[in-house]
Amino acid sequence: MLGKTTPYQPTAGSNLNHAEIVSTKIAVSMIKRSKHPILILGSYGEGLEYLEKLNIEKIYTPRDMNLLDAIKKISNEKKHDLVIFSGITYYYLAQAITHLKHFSDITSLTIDNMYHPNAKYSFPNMEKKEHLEAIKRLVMLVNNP
Amino acid sequence: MKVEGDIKKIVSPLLKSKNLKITGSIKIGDYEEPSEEWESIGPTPKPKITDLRKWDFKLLKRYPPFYMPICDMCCLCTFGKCDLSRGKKGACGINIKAQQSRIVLIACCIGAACHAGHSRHVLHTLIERFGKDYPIDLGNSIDVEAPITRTVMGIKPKTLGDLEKVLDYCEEQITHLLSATHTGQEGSYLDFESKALHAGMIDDLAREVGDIAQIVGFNMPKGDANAPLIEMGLKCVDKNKSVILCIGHNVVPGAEIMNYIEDNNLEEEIEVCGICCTAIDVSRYNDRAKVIGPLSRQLMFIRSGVADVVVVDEQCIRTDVLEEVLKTGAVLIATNEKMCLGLEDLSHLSEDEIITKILRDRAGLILDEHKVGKVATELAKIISKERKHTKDKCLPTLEEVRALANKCTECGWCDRVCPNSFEVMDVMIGAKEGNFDKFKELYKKCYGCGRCECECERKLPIVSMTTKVGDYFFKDLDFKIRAGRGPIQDVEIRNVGAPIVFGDIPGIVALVGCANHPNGEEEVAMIAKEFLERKYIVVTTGCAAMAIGMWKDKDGKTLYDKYPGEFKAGGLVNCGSCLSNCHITGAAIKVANIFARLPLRGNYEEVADYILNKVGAVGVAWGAMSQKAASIATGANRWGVPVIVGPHSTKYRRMYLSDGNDFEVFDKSCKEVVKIGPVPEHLITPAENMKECICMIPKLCMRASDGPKGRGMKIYHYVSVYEKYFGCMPPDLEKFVRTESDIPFMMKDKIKEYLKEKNWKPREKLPKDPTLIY
Repeated sequence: MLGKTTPYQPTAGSNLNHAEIVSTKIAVSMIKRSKHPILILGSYGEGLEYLEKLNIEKIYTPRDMNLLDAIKKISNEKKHDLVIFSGITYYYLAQAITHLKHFSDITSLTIDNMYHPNAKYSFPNMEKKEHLEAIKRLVMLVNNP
Repeated sequence: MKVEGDIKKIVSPLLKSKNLKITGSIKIGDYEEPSEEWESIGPTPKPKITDLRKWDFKLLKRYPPFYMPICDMCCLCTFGKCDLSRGKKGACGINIKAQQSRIVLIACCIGAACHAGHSRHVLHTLIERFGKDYPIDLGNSIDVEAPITRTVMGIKPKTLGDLEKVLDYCEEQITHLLSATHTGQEGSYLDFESKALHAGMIDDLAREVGDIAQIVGFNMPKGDANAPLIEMGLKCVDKNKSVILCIGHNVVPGAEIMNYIEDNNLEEEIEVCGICCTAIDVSRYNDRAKVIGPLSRQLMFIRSGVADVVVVDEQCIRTDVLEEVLKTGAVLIATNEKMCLGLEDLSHLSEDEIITKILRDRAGLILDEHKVGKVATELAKIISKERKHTKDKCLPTLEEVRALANKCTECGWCDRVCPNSFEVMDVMIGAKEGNFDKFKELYKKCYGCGRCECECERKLPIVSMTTKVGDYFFKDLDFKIRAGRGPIQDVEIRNVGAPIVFGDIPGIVALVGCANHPNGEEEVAMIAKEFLERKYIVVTTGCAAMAIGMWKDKDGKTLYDKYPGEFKAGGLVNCGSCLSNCHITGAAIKVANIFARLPLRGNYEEVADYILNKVGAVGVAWGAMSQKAASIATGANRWGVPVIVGPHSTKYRRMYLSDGNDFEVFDKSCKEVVKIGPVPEHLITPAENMKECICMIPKLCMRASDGPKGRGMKIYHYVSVYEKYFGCMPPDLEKFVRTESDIPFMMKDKIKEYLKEKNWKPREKLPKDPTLIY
């Protein structure tokens, strides 16, 4: 699939500031360096069963909390320094995450197989198999220092 | 204007007096004092932009705007483009919050203007036909004929002429509101939001004018719970007849067509069908008209080639409709000044001359609706003969679909440009092998926007291919919809007023809005079904009303076949088109007026406060797409009705979300401020998927005034849907259980156990008469 750094839905970007691409290795190092990371995990995609094993705080959306409520809570509490997203409907997250981009200092990282321009850091567009391997590796490296 | 006052003492050289009372009236312009003193006048008749600002600010304090900027920049003036990201300001000084709220206001103004323009056109047509003194009579069952107009304007409209005054006010307000968005005007995001709420209220008012006018002028059902069932769906049209397709929202041209057909006994020759709200309103006028479906099906239906003549009026019509119609060999008639499509205005010609001209040019603009009936009908007769052998050839055959799919290069860009990220490429891969299973799934969900086609490097006609697959494999696309009944009867409100306010009827769910559904129409029907079975009152309008009808059970029955059209527990009430949304807020207002005896006249704030705290209603706009939907939802919000929108609606950029903690209300009986749980928790919020939407509905129906039995029932449904769809207890349940009396008997043990884990403590005080006005 072409265009690893074009937003997965090409119109999802918000014009000026687009996410920096990160590799699995950098993502792992970001999570390890973070004092209070949190994972907001949706219900779509194939890496979820692995991400459930990730040893960090999690919110399952929408079961535990609506995505916007979760973003608002994290943004207001200022407790977390890194918020990671995965498994959320692409266009829905692409729009919701702009709130963090404009109104919060928290670092946002998306680890789906689709490039999310409105996060601060994002995985690039990837084939599903390649992405699954990346997720497995990320979980292994974070959980086993 | 009326002036009254007591003067304690006048001392002047000519007159000395004590306890003098002076009463008189001053007449300004053409304003006429209502002859009947039906209610004492409240504080805000014909409110100006700032008159309800205090109320708006109370709402905005509890539900602060949550912004999701769709663009980092402002591009509205030549100072810019300005980068507003990450705290930067534009050259005019505007910041990102104010810019978002400004765009929201612009959207609401577009929506309000659209409904005001539509209503003005309908009203103008009817006044020309019947005169200004034509009475507004909605029958014996409806005394409170115009609850929104009574509350906002402070008048009881008695004639079509009275409705003109309401529109004069709307148009004035829209002009002021829109002017506030100019560079260098409003600078506060809260004030922009207050103005957006005002625009929403004006939109509601304008819709009420339009719908009341068309109900009385076109003799549509007047609150008839047994309005007829109308045929609906792509397969309900008799292709052997000449077919006229009306698309849009304005009933006037469609009604003229129906008149001409009846006057000339052409019912057996001509089929009239419609897409979007025009379809609903024409079927309210004449139950022979058929409804194809929501706006999402328009490209598919046009491409199917069934229509011989396409008549467009206004709103939500594809702007490339002319190009698409011409490809099928049909002809197009535009009938409204808002959509002229570059066509020559033929209104001055005679009907026969217009027919000749359109036969030559294949399209024309007719702004004289009296001519549309004959022209469209006679053209349909000619064109259907002309297209007799080509009509069925507009779509590729199934073999051709397979051959086209074989040209697919599997680049995957169709998936990426699809608004819903449907896996179109996999569909093509299957079709190459002659496997159409995924294609069938795509047909059920796709709303045919055509973005995949525009991106395809092989220019594959993906929408036409999908339409063919649907046409070939689905033979049962014939459904039913109950014709829009218009307003709710006063007696129905009397019957349900107390159960709604005390919570014994768990809520009113209003399924409204456009067809930008994330997974097809069926989800709307599933939401309706869930709450009909739970004995909520389900009301609906517009494209959502059609979507509800586009699902059948094993016995082939739609929800309209299965549930009564009365406004009662377990009733499925189709009010009509999107203009008819006014009857949904109207019903909430009527509860305040008829059940609680709250005066309406110029009394907006008190009525809205009552609805917010006591009427458990929630709007669901699952496919909200348009600016009209934005203004409708914002209008509902100002009345205190919360709204759930689908995931695409985050692109409206703004939601109103509380922080989920306790709210404060003033208890009018104890005269003190009391803390309550967050009910209703949000004023407008999105849900990611149908499951989440269903689980939000019972929660957003909770109100501060719920009695223990009523709250218990709402909690029962909240827990029950959560367990059904997520397999667990709601994670925030403790916020909504006030005392042990709120715990439903059937779930006592598990809820008590849950509450124990959460360290829940019962509330010491519950408000008896909660209000935000103090």
